Amino acid sequence: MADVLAAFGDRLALHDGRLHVAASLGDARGSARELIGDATVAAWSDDALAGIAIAEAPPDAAEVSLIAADAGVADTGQIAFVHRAGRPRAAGLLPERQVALLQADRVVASVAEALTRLFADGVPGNVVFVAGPSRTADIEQRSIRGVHAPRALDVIVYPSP
Amino acid sequence: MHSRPRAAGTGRIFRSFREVRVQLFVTCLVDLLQPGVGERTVGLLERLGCEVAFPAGQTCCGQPAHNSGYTDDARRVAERFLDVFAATDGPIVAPFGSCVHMVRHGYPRLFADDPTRAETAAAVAERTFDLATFVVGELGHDQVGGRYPGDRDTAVAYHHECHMLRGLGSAEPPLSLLRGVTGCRLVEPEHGALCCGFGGTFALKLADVSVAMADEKLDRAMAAGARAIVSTDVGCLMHLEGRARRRGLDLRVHHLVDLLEPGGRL
Amino acid sequence: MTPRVVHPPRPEPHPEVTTNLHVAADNWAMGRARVRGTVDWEAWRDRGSEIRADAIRDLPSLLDGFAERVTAAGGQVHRAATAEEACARVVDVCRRHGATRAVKSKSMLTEEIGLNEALGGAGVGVVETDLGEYIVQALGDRPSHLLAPAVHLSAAQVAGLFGRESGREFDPADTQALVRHARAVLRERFLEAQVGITGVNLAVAESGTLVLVESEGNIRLCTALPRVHIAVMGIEKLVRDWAGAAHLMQLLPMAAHGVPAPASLSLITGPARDGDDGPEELHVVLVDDGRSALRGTEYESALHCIRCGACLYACPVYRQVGGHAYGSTYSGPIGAVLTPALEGGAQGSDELPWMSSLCGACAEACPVKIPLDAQLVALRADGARRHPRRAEAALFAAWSRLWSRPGGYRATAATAGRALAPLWGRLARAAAGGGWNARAPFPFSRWTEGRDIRAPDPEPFHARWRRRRG
Repeated sequence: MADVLAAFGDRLALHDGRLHVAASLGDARGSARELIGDATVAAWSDDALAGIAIAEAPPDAAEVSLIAADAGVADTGQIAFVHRAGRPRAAGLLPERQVALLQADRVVASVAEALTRLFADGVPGNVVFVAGPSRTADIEQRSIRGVHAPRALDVIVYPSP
Repeated sequence: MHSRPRAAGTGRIFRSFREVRVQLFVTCLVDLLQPGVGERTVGLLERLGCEVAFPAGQTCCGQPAHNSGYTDDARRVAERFLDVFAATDGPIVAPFGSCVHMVRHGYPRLFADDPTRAETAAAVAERTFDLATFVVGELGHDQVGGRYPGDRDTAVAYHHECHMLRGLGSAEPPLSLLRGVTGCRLVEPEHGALCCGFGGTFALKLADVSVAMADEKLDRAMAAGARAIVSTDVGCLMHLEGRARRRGLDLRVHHLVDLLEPGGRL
Repeated sequence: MTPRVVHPPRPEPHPEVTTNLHVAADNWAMGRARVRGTVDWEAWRDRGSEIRADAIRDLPSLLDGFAERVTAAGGQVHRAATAEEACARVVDVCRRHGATRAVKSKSMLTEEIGLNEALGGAGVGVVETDLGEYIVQALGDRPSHLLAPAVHLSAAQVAGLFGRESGREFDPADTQALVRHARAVLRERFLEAQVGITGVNLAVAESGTLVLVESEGNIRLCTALPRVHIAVMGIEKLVRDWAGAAHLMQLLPMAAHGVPAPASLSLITGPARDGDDGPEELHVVLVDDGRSALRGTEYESALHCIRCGACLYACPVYRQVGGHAYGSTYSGPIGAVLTPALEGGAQGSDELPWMSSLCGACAEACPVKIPLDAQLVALRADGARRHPRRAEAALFAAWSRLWSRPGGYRATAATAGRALAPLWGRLARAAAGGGWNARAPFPFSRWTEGRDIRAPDPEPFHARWRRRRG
């Protein structure tokens, strides 16, 4: 498990994402609050995210997107989440920064494993895999982060309760 | 073309005290435009203990017609090649990778509908080698000496023939031989594996692009400090030398065998 | 006729484009070196090739299965045999919804079928949301690379465009500000659009899922905010199952950018469900447009292409002339194969396979091992049959008859020198001293436009051998 997590962290860093490892869900929520600071938040309504956001705002005005991820992939440094009730699309997409909470036992080694888990109850309508910030090099090959989706991604991993 | 470079040679090492009889496939470009390269090739092989035979009826491998889409014409000339060389034994050696690539990889496609010819072609192809791969892989010599003219250590850049590098997977043998030449040292230009722009009829059909590609190759060689370019493709060499002269560049151009066996004569 | 071919190829070097292309190609080469150093790249290519070959071999039944599953998931499938039909289906959907504003992500297929023009003609305004495509569209230009549509443009041109759009001044060096402007403008468009139109990178037959790959986030916006999502898909994009899809989801970014994952991947199966606030309707338009005709031919493997763009970056000709020189939707080596193959040589496309020195860098770069260089040669042969060049054909016919006999070969060598001597004048006299000349007569005059030429040696090797060795 520790190896998979370490590999996940390395790969995430390759994409300019940052991994934080928390000792408990409580600590994870605390880390999230620190990362958010005074910024306004658009949050999903997953239980794990309860009580983190203080200053809420609609997705197209919020500075931070607070989401829960359903899987992490060590081979590629991706997080994955399924869109469903309580997880408005815009809240996971429009703000400039993104903080994602992820249960440690959902970090697996390969894309194939992640798909197996995500598809355990059938293939969902919409699954997104994210590897770090959105980016473009369309203007003279200069690399710029944060085009239409978040420019910064922090992933906070915590042990399953 | 193979995606994975094969190891040079098939591992059959001939002991130098046992004379190897080699069939020289001189290639039409060398024969007609750079016969000195043919002479130096013979000189080198003989120095290494080979007996060199020159099948007199040889003409061309047929590649120019094949690459231009005239498969019937290519086949006609390729059949001649097969008739000449199938009647021989032992390794067939050419100082030119592109022609060897045609025989090894072009002929199976050319004769796909003719099982008898295809079988002959396969048997001939199996014993056809470019000079560097033959010397290093078959005769077992990583270096064979040689000298770069002049009295200083000249920086040289090696230009790989595209068909030899990607088609035959033979990158190391010519470099190994070049490292054994005194009076020069190898420099590595950036993007050294880029095509130089000769490409056969491409050099005439898309002449402006061809020249632009030569310019990039020459500029990068000079940026790496090279005073000379070495290759085994007579077409590439004529193209690069022709452009270097037109631009008045202080850059020499040599066939590898010019350095390995400078005094080679028939 | 499709707009697949815009104009015949124009193989001229474009130094003003070259700088950007070289930077892009260099970045790509570094990424490729990184990948080669990290994984067993040849094994990844082998597997990639198998997966694509399997799907194309079984395409008709996989397509049927795919369509069934998309429908079972609540999506609507439209089959389009031609470009015109495909555009008509998209226009129909827009009309049914009274849509006048669409946002669109980058899709070479939609370029190929002329979708934007068809929509414009039907009163639907289309905004390209990929930054490079947005810029190209606003300038009335055409994309010049599969993945980097604006690679031929300068920051100054972009700053000028954005300045005109906004009435403000932009510093070309402040790329961040340029991107922010585009982000703000496009945000408005995403929010007001009624329809989102995308291409499809991969489609998984096993579950009827569309896989969309991106770096910028615009695809997620196109498929999240508008109420209707129309996905336009080439039928060759299919893979059989998730095992294959998982491999390709990694192979594609590795081949294109040297990284194991793209910034984001969307896996879309039907319209939004389970309370997801995404699109209420999903339409998948399956476009053939000449593709199934390539199955069973020499060019079947060109359908394996996963549109990574690697062959463009590897190509020594592309890096000198840029994408526009090919004059067709698909440029670079894959364009030089697909366009004439799909067009059957029509619209001047038989010129495209000549945009190559046959160096093989494309086949080497291809992550699914399409033998592009061999296909270029085969297309030249097809072209020689379809659109014969009589003088050239006669020359090669004479050449092959002479050179298939040693007598003929030697006679050419002997007489060429003598016959050409008067024409070559100074050249022949200079030959004895290994002389160089700056001019050569036809057919070698094109050589000497840019290069000097050396006269052939008066005594060929075979004559020398006969003289010295008997």
